[in-house]
Amino acid sequence: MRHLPQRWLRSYVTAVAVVAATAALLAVRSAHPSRAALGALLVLAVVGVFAERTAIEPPQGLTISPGMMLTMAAIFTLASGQLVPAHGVMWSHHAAALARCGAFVAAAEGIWFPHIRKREFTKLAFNTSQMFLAGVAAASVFSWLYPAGTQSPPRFLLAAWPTALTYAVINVGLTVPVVAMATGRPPRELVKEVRPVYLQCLPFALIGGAFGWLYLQLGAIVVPLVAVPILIARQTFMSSIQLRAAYEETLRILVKALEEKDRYTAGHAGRVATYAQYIGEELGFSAARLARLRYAALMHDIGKLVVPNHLLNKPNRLTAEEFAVVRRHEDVSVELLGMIDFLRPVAPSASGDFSRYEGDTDALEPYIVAVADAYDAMTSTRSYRRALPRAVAYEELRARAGTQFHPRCVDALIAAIERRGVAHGPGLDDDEVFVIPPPSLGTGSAGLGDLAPSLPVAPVPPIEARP
Amino acid sequence: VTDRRVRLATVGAAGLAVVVAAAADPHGRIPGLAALGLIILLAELVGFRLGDGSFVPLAPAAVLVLIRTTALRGAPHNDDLRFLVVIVLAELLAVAARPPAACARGRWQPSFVRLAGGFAGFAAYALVVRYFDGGADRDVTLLALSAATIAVIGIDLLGRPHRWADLVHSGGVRAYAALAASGMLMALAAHGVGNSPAMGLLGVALFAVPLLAASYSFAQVDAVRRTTAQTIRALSVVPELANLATTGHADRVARLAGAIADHLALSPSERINLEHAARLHHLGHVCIDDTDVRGGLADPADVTETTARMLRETGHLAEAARVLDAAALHHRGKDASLPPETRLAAQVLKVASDYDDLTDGDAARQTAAIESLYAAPGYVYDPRVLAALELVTA
Repeated sequence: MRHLPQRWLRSYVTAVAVVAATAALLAVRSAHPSRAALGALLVLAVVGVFAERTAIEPPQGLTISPGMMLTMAAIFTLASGQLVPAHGVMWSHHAAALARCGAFVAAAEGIWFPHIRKREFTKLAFNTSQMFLAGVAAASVFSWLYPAGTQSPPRFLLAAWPTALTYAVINVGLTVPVVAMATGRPPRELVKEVRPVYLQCLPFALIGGAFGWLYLQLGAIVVPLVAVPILIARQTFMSSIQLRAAYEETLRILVKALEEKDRYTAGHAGRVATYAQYIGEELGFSAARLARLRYAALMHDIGKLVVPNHLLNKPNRLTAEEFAVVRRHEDVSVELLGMIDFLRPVAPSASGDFSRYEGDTDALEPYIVAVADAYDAMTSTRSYRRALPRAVAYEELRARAGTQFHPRCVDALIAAIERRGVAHGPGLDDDEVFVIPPPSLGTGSAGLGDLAPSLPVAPVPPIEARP
Repeated sequence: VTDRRVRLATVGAAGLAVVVAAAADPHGRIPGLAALGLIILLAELVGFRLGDGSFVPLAPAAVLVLIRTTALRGAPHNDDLRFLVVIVLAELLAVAARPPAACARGRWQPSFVRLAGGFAGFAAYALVVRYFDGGADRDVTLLALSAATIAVIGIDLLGRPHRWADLVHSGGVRAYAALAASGMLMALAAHGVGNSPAMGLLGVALFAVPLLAASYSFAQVDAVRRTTAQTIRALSVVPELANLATTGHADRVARLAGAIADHLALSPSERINLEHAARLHHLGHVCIDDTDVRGGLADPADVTETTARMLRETGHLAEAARVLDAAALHHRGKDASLPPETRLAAQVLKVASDYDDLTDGDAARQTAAIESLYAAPGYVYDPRVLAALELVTA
């Protein structure tokens, strides 16, 4: 979607705000709240303002916020009819009108302090307005499905989901145009992105209903009781996210330390991890399996830490003894990865044994790392030759697919790289500074390929040296 | 695998009992009580994993629901017997089904603690209700339930080996707070207050969700923490595999440093920093370019500084780098301006590492090693640490 003029955005926001203000006016006029109802509204609205600050934003995926729960608690409390003075025949009608005032709790959740601090009043007005409208619609649905006086848990279960769904649909429906207009991203993509919200809102709505039910019996004292476990779950979840990020950070730093040792492979581990992730995504791995694959790829050369520097950076061909010492790093890598429980199943990824394809096995990871490693070895400059162009690397991979490499992994990598349109190869690793100018021949595999006496000598196409 | 099979069989048997009870007496109180017994059994199997590896089952929260169900009308009453039967049966089954993590102090111990807590909680609830002549209004209910919660959670805490500081550090306080709040909510939701309608097991299930989410988050934290510890252990053997340190050195030094830290009552967080530093203190050696020091040995302070430099950039090992920095500064006699606890931790690291270099894991060389550490000039080793070493190795 192309950028629309600012004027459109402003008119849209104004329209939403006007509709919301009208709805608010109507809701207030038709409701006759008791003092208990006003108290409940006030308590839940105040909690709502602060609840949004406890929203969790996981690294990938949608924000998880307890806002839905509070809105539902308010709607349930007010729609029950228990807070309406019980006189006259219009009792359930009054209760429904009062329930629509529960939308003020939703509006309170739209108040986001940073917007006030930065004086972004348009955003503030839009958020409170759209959430109010979503709340009014949800309240109407709920009081229709669960009229005042109903006291049946199964019926509540049936009414909660349509209510939550109404809330979520209006919330998303009103917000997507604004985000689309402001960022120029296609609305369809945005709608797709927030799809999990429709499932996620249900448990919150159910707990919210139970919360409202207890509130009616016990008053505001249930608020801390409900808040404590939710806040603890949230805080602990946040710290697990932080710890995981810190762990990944630690691995990266240590891998960097390793690469300081081996000057020609700067960035190698990170790139192999990226290529391995490409392949994993292409093969439809789950998020957990992808994470494991990425760590294994990142650490596949960790054993090089035990190889003395003068051997790692030797510009000439290694002697047989030296080669044995260097080769030992693979066993060490496997041993080290095996010491980490969740990487143990993929520990063979660090072994050179998988540089030979012998039919399908359960564990694809070692083959994936082998392909990613070989691709990076070919498209980056090594101590024994310069980088090869991408096309040559593809050809090499394809030629050895089925004998040395797993064919599915090769296809997946090539497809993924082509689709992303990223380029690798000579001329793209110019930021490396080499003390000794590397030679420009040899294809190599896993960085040791053309040293390995056991491997057949690859047909080496003549490559132009870099200008 | 056998353990899992036993667990499945036990839970299956309890589930079957609930179904049979529901079929035999659909409108009576027995099926509900049987379901509560099953919930207690399940709640013994799931729980919070704390930072020190211990396990806090969710069962106390389920026991609170059972207490409120049976003690509603105060004691003495027929319900005394119902409570007794349900909790004893559930706990007997739990003995067979309990996961290994919960058996740190034996298979039976948690069941005894739970029974003691349950009886105390039941008595507390029933006594409060009785004191107010069987009243069931809001205030009496809240008072009785608070008393029961304090009794159940309090006795569970007494049954744990924790010191208070460790409990705070390992997340135990958060776990117990979530248990207490959720337990009260579930107990309140299961039965109406006064004449209000009850949500029954639906209420229990709904308010179990935040509790389960909390325990899931604890499990996530535990998984990352364990992976981090294993990674540190893997990295600690790298210098040994590179023949730059003797086999098992890092592990022995870390254990010894931990024992000395306990003896000197270092704070839990400083103890962990010290252990990380002890495990990794030789790691920098593999990154020192051996083309410069080929054949010879790198300067120990250089090694420590290189390790510290590597770790300083990382997020959560930066604290361990602080201990290593202090150790390197001490080696050069420049550590006077550091905070006392950091200096002490660095001293512990130095003493533990030098002691291990002298003994090489050989118990026969202990006395000689300690004597030669004492023989060093006074400024090299802190006498408090040496005294602690002597006690710990004795």
